[in-house]
Order: sequence, then C-alpha cells, then structure tokens
Amino acid sequence: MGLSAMDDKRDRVVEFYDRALVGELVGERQFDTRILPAKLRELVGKYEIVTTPGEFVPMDLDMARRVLEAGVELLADLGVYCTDTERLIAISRDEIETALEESPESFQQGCGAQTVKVRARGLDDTRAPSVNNGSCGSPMSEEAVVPALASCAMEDIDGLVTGYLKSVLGRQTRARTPIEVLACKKEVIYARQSLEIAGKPGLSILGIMSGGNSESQDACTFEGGLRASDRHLNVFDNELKLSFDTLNRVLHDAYAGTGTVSAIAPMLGGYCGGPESTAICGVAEVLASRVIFDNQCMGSWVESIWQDYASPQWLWVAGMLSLAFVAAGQHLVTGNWLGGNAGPWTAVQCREMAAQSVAVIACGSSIVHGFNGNAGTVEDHVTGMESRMLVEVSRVAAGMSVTDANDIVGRVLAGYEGLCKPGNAPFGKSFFECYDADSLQPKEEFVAFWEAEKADLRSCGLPL
Amino acid sequence: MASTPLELLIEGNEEEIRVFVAKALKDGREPAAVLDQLSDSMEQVGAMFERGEAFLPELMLAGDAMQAAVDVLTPALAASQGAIVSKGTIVIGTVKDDVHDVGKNIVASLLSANGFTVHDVGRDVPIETFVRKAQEVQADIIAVSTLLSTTMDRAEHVIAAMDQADLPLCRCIVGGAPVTEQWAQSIGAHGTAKDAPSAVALCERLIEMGRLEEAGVRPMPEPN
Repeated sequence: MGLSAMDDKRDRVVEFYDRALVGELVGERQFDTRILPAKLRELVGKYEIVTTPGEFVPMDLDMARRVLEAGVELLADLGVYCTDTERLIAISRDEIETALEESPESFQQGCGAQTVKVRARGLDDTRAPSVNNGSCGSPMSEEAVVPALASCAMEDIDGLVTGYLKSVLGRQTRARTPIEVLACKKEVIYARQSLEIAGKPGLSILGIMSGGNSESQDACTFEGGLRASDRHLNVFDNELKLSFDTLNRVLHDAYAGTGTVSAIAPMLGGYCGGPESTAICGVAEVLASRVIFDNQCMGSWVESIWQDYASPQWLWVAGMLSLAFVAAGQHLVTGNWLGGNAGPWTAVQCREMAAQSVAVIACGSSIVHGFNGNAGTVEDHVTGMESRMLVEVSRVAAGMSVTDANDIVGRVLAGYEGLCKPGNAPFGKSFFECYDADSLQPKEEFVAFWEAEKADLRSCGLPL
Repeated sequence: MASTPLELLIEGNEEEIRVFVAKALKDGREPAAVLDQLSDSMEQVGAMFERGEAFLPELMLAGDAMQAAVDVLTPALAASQGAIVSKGTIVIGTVKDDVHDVGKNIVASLLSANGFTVHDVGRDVPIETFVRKAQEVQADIIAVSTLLSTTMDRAEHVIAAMDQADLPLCRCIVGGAPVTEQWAQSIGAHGTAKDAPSAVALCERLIEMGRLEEAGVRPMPEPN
C-alpha cells in the first residue's frame, strides 16, 4: 500500500471515529429491538421485497435492484451503530454512491506465480469465480494443520483460508493471553509452511481466525506474516454495528500494508428478522464496510439462528447479497463464505456445497471464500478434497442462469432437506482418516466416493 | 378494537399492556386469571419464535412488555394472597472477553417466555459477577454463553467459582457454537443444548431434578 492509500485509510478511520463520538445517542437494546427492525419492516413494504416459498435462488432481477435501493436507504437513514459510544455513525447517500462508483472492477491477490486477478462477475457470466478454501475458521490441531492446509493448497484454489488453532505448544488458546497472540502468529507461519510444501509460496492467505480481538489479530503482521497480497479479515458485528476494536484493526492493517477483506454476517431470524429484511440489512452492511473500510474484496456469510444452511431462505439471502449489486449493474467484487452442517466424506456435505455454490455463483458472486464443514465446530475435519469439490462445482456453475440454478439446486437438495439440519447432518471424517499424511494424497476410496457423487450431481443437472 | 395481550406483547407495547392490566383489575378480574392470560400469551410468543413466525426483536420486546405487566400486577397478586409462580430463577450471561450476545439473548428471551425468572448479566461478564448475582437472586441455574473457542475456559472458571461459593443447589449449563456435550461434561457442567428451545427443555429438566433431590427422591435417568 502506498503512502497516499495509507493516509486515505487513516483519514477514513479517524473520520468515522469522530462521527462515533458525536452521533445520536441510542441505547443498544433500543437499536436492536426497535429502531433497526422497524426500519427494516418499513423498507420491506416500501420496496415490495417478498420471497416465494420453495424458491432457492432469487430470480426476480427487478426485486434484486430494489433490495440494493432499500439497503442504500437503510444505511443512509440509520448509519452504523458504534458499540463503544452507543451512538449512530452517520453515513450519507453521497458517500455510499461514491463508494460504489469507486469500487474497483478487479484486484489482485497472491504474488509471484500464484498471482490471481479477481474480477467482478455479472449475470450469466461464464467466467468462473475465484475460489479460496482451506480450514475456513474450523478448529485445527497443531498436528493436522500443516498437512491439512497443504492438501488444500495442492488443489487448484486461488487462495488459502486458515482455521483456528485450538492449542499452541500444547497449551490451549485462551483469549487475551500470550498463547492467543502466539496462535495468531503460528496460524500464518503454519499456513506459509503448507504453501511451501504445496509448492505455491505466493498463494494468498486469508485469516486470522485464532484471535478474538485487535491486539491478537494485529500479531499477524510481522516479518513473514500476512502480506499485501494476503487478506486480513475486517469484521462487521451483528447487525450494522462497529466497534473501535475493528477500527483499530483497519488502521493497523493500513500501516502494516496488509491486504484486507470485509466480512459481514447478517443473521436470519436474529435482529434482522426474516429473509427479506436480512437481505436488505446484509446489503447495507456490505455498503457500510465498503464506505468505512474501503476494502476492494468483500465477503458475506449468512448466519442463521436455525443453522439451516441448505434451506430456501438461507440460499435466497446468500444469493441476493451478490445479485442485488450485479442486477443493478454495479461492479463491486462481491464474495461469499459458504458452509454446512455435515463433515468431510459425506454425501450430505457434497449436496450442501453444490447447492450453495450454484446459488451464489449464478447470482454473480465473484469470489468464494471457502466452504466450512461441520458448521466450523469439529477439530481437524478439513481435507483438500473439499477444495477439489468446491473448485469443480464452481467452474460448472459459472454461466448458469438464476432460473436454471434454481431448478438444479432444488434437485440437488431433494431428499436431503432433513439430513442437512443440525443434529442430523453426519460429522464425516477427520483429515487423518481421509488422507495419507505422508503423501498428502486422499485415500483412493475418498476419490472414488467423490467420483460417484459427481455422477449423482450430474443427474441433477450439474455438468461435472 | 382493543389489542389482545398477545398483540401488545409482540409489539413490545409496555404502556398499553400496563393499561390492559390496570383495566382488567379495575373490572374485577382475578389477578391470578390475568396473570394466566399473560403467561399463555407469552408462551404463544415463544412458540411463534420457534416456528419462525416471530423473530428475536419480537421475543425480546415481549419479554420487556411482560415485565411491565407483571410490575402492575404484583401488588394485586400479593393483596389477593396470590403470587407469581416462576418455573425457576436463571442467571445468564456471556463470558469475559466475548462480546457476542445474540445467542444469549435468544436463550434468555425464550426462557422468560416460558415462565422462568431471568437475570441477564450481559456480555463480557467477569466470573465473579455470575456467582454474585446467583447468590443475590438465589438462582437455580447459571447459564454461561461463549461463542469464541478462546473464551470457553471462562465457563470452567465459573463452575470452579460456584464450587467455592455457597451455591450448593445451583446448577450450571453452558452454550455457544464451540460447545459440545463432551466438553460440557468434562468441565463439570450440568448440561448443554444445541439451540434455544433445547435450552428451555434442559432448564425445565434440571429444575425438576433439583426439586426431586430436595424432596429426597432419586431422579430417574433420562431415557436415551
């Protein structure tokens, strides 16, 4: 990052910090339970945002454009809530529109032979999205982290997404301790080692997952740590909330020259309410992160109080977070995090991954930031085969219309609706059960399993 | 047409629900009957939430409105020798160094909707606050929430602090994305639940077991 870009980021952080000190004072519970839900209800009615029962992929392009308009209005009318000062940070419509206009149509990640140009995709775009993958926030042991990540990096991915180190040097990772700081540093070091093993030292690394606050997160920027070609998470809190801790991280990244990615996660059933209002709120959060963080790379995850990651409403919102921008002709590089309840080497996981990938890619998502199995809760349940599957599915999903995608997703999930739910979804197997740890190759039976699954997915209309 | 208690709860209309209760008492209705009607409505809000027909804001607002109604009703109940029968008293909060509270708020609101007395101590809560509050309100259960894997150990410390404090009948449940049944058992928690409705069922079960133990009855194990 050049000096002017660094100064620009610094000025943005200071500007929004100042606004957080003088904005309208509002109790957090008042914001969560009255102000935000009431505004969302108003916008859902005003812009006539409705979901159709059983629709997996949003297909009404005019409505997608209205979701963007509603998101702009939400952000311009409410602003963003600062949890430290309990004040609203005002953001003007002009600032939002300027941030959209100035969004780059592409950016680079990775370096050397692994440099990748990530481009904004459009509707029916035959260009495949960029695909990052790895352990994606899942808990990893020190024993498994390097071989598991190396097995991912050996696949044809465009970036490696790290997981959470459960322990370091035999000590449990605990918040606000030296071990947490060490875990954040080791997370990058281990990722770097895995890239060396895979012969792809320049591949972009996306993290950090082992630290819960800016002081540990900032530990990832050291010599050999995250680079300009990597991606450090700048996270928005639920819903439409920002803390000084996040601004600290943004500022630190700017001075350290670390590449960044915005992460937003609107929650279905939470303060946003149903799918229509969750989509509007998610769009507003994407816009807010674009305005405040000035990041080139965006990423949306849809959280759900029901953990129903293969339901029509979840898929509809996930797709809409790209389609709202794409249908309106915006060239923002939108991205999605994906993930389900099942674990590796299970048919359920293949279905969850295929359904989600097809839905968001048909909606114009430019970059898939990885697929997280077992809802990110089971240790070492990460293998390179998920990366292989994600890349293969993403390639064939490119160019698909939203109508075709909706039909295919329906067929992919037929009979699996109940199995995808938490408590029913199978845990699957760990890295060491799935791979030969010495050769870092998947077991033959695992490869054969995926080939059989591909045949089944072909019968659902996916040309794998 | 006047709004029903259910509508007033869903709207979180504290002012109107106070008026509703005051009018019902003025009209000569038995305080206990008014309380039953409000409790039934509150349970309906909880059921609507579980069916996806109401969301977190409605659940939280209903809890606030119910409290406003109970505040008006309590003197009349006392005068009629009645009392609000709570299913149990719960202290709930998110552990120190964790500022995530959506899950905790869902569980707190659903417990409240199902007839528990809930004391929410907030997020980023020090261990001693859980224990002190539990002592103050003579809690039946401390419910500890942790969304971050790096703060899970705080739950273990809460249980250790409960052992040191004078809370022999108080139980501890833990919850949050990284929490598993196995881990909950390993730290000596009395249980965990995969979602908010299961947390309500767990609390009901633990309270019932506690009552049986107090009565000297050995509870039957849960069927698998």
